[in-house]
Amino acid sequence: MPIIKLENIQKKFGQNTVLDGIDLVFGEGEFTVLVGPSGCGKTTLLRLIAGLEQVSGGKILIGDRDVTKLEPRERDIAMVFQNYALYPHMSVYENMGFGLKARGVDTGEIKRRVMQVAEMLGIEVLLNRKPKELSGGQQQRVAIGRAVVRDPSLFLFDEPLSNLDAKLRTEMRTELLKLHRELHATTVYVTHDQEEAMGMGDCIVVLNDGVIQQRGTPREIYFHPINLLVAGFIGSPSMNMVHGQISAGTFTSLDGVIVLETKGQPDGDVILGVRPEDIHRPINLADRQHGCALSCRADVIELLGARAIITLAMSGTELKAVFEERYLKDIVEGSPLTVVLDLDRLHFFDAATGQRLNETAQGGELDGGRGANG
Amino acid sequence: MRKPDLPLQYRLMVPLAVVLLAVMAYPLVFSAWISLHDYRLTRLADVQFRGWDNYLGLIENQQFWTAITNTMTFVVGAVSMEFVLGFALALLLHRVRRFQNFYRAILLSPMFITPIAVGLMFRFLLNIQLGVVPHYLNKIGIHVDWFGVDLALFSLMLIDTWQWTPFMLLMLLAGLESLPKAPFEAARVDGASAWLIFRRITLPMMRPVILVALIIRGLDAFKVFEYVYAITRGGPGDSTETILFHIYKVGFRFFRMGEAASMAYVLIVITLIIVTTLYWSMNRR
Repeated sequence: MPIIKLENIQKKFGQNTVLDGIDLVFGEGEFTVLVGPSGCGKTTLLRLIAGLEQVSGGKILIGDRDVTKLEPRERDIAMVFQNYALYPHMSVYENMGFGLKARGVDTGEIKRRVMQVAEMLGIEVLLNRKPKELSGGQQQRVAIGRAVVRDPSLFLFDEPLSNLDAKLRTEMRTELLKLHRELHATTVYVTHDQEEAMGMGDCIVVLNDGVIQQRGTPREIYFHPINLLVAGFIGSPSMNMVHGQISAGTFTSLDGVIVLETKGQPDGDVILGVRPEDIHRPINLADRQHGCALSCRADVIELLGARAIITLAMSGTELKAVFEERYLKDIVEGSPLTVVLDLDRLHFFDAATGQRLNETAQGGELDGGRGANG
Repeated sequence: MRKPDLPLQYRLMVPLAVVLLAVMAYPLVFSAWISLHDYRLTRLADVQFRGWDNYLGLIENQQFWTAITNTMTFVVGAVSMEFVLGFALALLLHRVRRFQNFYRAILLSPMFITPIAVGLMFRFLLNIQLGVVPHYLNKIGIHVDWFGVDLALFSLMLIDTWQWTPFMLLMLLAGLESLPKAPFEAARVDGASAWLIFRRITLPMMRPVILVALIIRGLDAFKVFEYVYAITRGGPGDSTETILFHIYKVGFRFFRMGEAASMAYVLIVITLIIVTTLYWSMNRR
């Protein structure tokens, strides 16, 4: 499968610039997830790659071929749409074979490939049905089958799981990943769901306002967000943001409640970022040397099952922490509580520009600590 | 005070029911009755019961069958032309983005002229001695008698096409605009050419709208009367005598109301068969 390159892609609708200076490379067999808030331009970018929209500037290359001006059918791309986009009057078999028929593949070969893919996706028994006779999950499988059967250079997925219920979404996510491992196909996947992005992508591209904010592995994006926007968007619950100042190597929050040592950060107004899972009970950070104890009150406890989100209140500051359920037993809503911030995993951002300040994020290497929070 | 016999909702319906009975039910029943009688306006004192004779007489009635054939030819010809032209224009307008409303208003305007006026307009435009169209065609060496024996029915079809293509356009454009965009985008990505998309996606997805448009226009074309009355009066000979004009002639010129009523009932049956067949074909998929 060839490498796909986007060079300085621009897209305007009238006077409105939707995408600006997008440079991206999708490596061979790579699963790239485009993620960002609604209206950030991710679906537009996907449609530009598919050829369903024309670029206002820049180039799209598939291997050595410049496909910028080519029609979608000349690009050798398959796309799975958010609403499945099945042909309502055709059977599942005809839906899956349509692309091959359009490309002049002979009937015997169409039958062989459709049967092979239908078997792979477990939809052989549905081949004679019409789309309206299928459930949402089945329709989604057919849409995926229709893309897979063509064996294209690039797969595009436009929020394919967003119309499914939570359970089915998780199942389909795993199936898509299995399929990707099997086919090893270059894939670009659009979602607004950061958990989906983290769980599926070899590589994540975070977009906002038509500009790439960060491109990296899920680990890089999560542990080393390049700016406040990425830090706030990736992770659930969102990263806690505390405004404050660094002076002579000490961070002090605006309300003076949080005071902690920083490692060689320049003086100035900053925003401290703390992931909810990097706030611990003191007993759970015993093996760490770098902790900063805080006295606060457990305001609200939201039990999610195996873990809980605790809202911690300290005079004017509010933090969210995620504790495992087994560490909740002695915590009562409204009672005082001491927690510790993991100093190795703090993020500092410039208050004026929102850009990351501590370039050597520690968290990526200290991943072993994840999951033992409480 | 005495309680009214009928509940309020039924009493509210009474005026409408009376009007409907007077203008629809009574004429229907009365026409069914006279279709079984030798009912002539010139011999009202001597109305004889004829049973099915009026209907059976139609089997041998050459003029009736000529009128039916003319009407069928007219309906199939005119509606086909309207459909092809209307669909082509709808596809074109569907793509046009600039001045869209202006084009639509212009193209729809013929529909808003009363058919009798359209008939008179074309009678003058196409008249072999006075008409502006034959005049300019003559200048380039083309001599056409639009209302001659060979062309008269075709000319009426053209006039109908001119007036009612906009209706077809309106229906089909509304249909095209209500189709979901995603399957078309999927087909483009799947590698289908414009022609294949039209044939395999647009046409099948438009099927219900197409059938409804054909039924409405077909039924309307069956009722063609104004153009015949305003232009040819059924001539030359009986080449443009359509069924409605024939019924009018037998009933209101020759005053043979019983025979005219029986023809009207046969027409209703033919129309019902056609509509039922089309609906059946629509629901088949």
